[in-house]
Amino acid sequence: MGMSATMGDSASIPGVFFADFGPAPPEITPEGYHEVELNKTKWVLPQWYNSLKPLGEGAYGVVCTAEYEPTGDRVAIKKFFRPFQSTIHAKRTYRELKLLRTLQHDNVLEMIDVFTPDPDASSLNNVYFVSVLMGSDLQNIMKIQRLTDEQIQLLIYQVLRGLKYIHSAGIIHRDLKPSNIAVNERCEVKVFLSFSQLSFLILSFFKILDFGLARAQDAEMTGYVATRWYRAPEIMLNWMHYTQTVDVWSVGCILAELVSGRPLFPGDDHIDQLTKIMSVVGTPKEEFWSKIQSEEARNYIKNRSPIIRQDFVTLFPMASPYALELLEMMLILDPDRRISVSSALRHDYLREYSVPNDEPVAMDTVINSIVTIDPAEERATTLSDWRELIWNEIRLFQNSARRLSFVSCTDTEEEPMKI
Amino acid sequence: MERKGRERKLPGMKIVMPTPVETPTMNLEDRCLIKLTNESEEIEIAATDLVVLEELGKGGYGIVEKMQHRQSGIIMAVKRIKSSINDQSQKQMLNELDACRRSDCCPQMVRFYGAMFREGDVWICMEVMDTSLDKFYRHAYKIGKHIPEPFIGKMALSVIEGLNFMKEQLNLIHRDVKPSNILLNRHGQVKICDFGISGHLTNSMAKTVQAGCKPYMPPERIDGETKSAYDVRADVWSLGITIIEIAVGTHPYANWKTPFEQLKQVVKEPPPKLPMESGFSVDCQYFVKRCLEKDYNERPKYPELLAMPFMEQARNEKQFSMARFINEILDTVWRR
Repeated sequence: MGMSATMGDSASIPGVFFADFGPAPPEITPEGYHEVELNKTKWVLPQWYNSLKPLGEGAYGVVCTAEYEPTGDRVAIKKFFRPFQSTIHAKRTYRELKLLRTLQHDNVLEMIDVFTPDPDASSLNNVYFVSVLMGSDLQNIMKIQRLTDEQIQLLIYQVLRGLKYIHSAGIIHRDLKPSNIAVNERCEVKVFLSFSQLSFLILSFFKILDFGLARAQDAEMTGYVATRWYRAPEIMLNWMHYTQTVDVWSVGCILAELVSGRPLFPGDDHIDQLTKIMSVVGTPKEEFWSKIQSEEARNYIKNRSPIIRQDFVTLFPMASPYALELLEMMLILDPDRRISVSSALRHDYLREYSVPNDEPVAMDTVINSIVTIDPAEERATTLSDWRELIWNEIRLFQNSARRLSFVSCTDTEEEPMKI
Repeated sequence: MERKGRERKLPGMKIVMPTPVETPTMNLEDRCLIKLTNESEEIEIAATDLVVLEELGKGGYGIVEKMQHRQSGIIMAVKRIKSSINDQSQKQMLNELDACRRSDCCPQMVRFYGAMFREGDVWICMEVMDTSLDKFYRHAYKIGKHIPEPFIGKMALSVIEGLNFMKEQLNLIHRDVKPSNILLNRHGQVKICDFGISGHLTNSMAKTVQAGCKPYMPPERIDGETKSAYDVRADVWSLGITIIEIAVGTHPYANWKTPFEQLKQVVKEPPPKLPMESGFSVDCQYFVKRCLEKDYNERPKYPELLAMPFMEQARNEKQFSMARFINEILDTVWRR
């Protein structure tokens, strides 16, 4: 092909050259899959997923809904963003898949399918995750309505029920916030284990201090302002030395927001966050000071003027006495004095919906699977190592009985009352 | 299994579901028209026709890759940022696109070619440079070279002229000045990139969401009791830290484990400075000292900096060739 005069002139631009590469070679759609273009994203899906509609965005992936043809149920499909952008991203993808393959509880968002159109581990670049379709998340729900006290009770109870299970498996959620709580029309809740905190789940259990990973993690999280608003103060004060009650603090912040209609501690940064927290719950007492491991943090707090804990009755005039009592016990600065998940489940505020005999914990097989570090995972250092591990996780789930065993959680019409 | 309690229906228990929010495409297509220079013709580029040549960098925002357009052979840097329904994040990207479009006539800014949306990401197509200041100075120290004062002077001059242009002409401040956002090429040019978190400058005391890479953040942005409106002097502080870092080979502050260590060091302790024994001139040391005034009311803005003797020397320096120095460093292979 002859070059035009214009292109010839442009060829003199430094750092740029022109060549005719011809048309891009057609990409081959693997057998059993079909290709759909939706919202400027290419989806390559098994034949049984059809009628795609855009849904929006989950953490670290784009999401659509699709119809599962054999049953007509609609599902949510998430296409992971660049799962192999770095070894940290790959590690997260692996750990999320491993956890989702392992955890099973009706208040925890479950994976019902996972697939890749890529033919083998070495060429693995696209990973899709399928879950039941929940109506929305709590953050978006709160934007358009104020929930009733009964609805709040039922929601909080289910969140705590899900946390009980997660904690029994040795996992701390650490990033509980309204956008990580999926809710449907029937007020059913599923806690969403979002991508962003998975890298800490197993580390937290073993109390391994991996500052390299922590730094990268924090660097990303600080870009998401809302993440900090629900974070327990000891995460900021003791940096990675924390326990499961960090999640109780988050539930307290969420309960306060549900009751009052606005975020409780919308901090601009770490220090502003802590300042806002102390302005409500007061400055810490001596017994808590001694638990703060960072000398700089201790000095920072000591140098501040003492603040007395605010009266929650004044702060939350709309809240019922039982709600206030639970809030008081959840929003305690000292994590050792904060109410536990188990005790919170028995609190009078949740009595109406409490079913003590139906609050399952993780089975030993689940715990063993999570706490056991696969030797291959321990040895993994390169992206191709992680590709192999993720490929195996995909195959394990695809061969399990749990694949595609689900019922829709979305109402299109009212169902008969169950007894 | 008995589940009566949780599944009992109460009047009004049904929750109204909000309308799903689609991933915003920010009115972008998955192709765009680009011009390599102001004089050249426009060429249409489709995202699917770009081939990855190598990765240039990555961070919390996403990834930057060197890419080639298959049909024309044009090579560019493409920064891919996840599109987000988070308002602040979306606003930041809009600011970046807007700033990039309007920066054509500023030679100290990396040239913006165009923007697309594809696979959940905003794709920002830019001029490709040969290295970042971050990688460059680390490589220099690895091969046993130090960064000479004339390089520091000319680098700082380009950065300040670019920042001043953005402030004066487009009313934007950068807010993330650091070595990895300062790019170099073999022609000896120094350019700034990533006005991704620029905000329109106002004189009000409106609060801004915390921005700026923490290690380069000035004291007035850290101390909760003296927080103030962001202005260009925050970028001046970041530039001062950058100069010390490349001059001595390490960041002047240790890695902080908690925000309180940062608070203590940056807010409570004296500002860092160029070591007396480092061999830098008095004018250079004074310049850095002024950039790192802890009281931002005392810290100079760009016109005052540009008038200082150190900048005058950088402007007039004819013996030192940026191009030769940059090529010399880049062409030297590090041997263990």
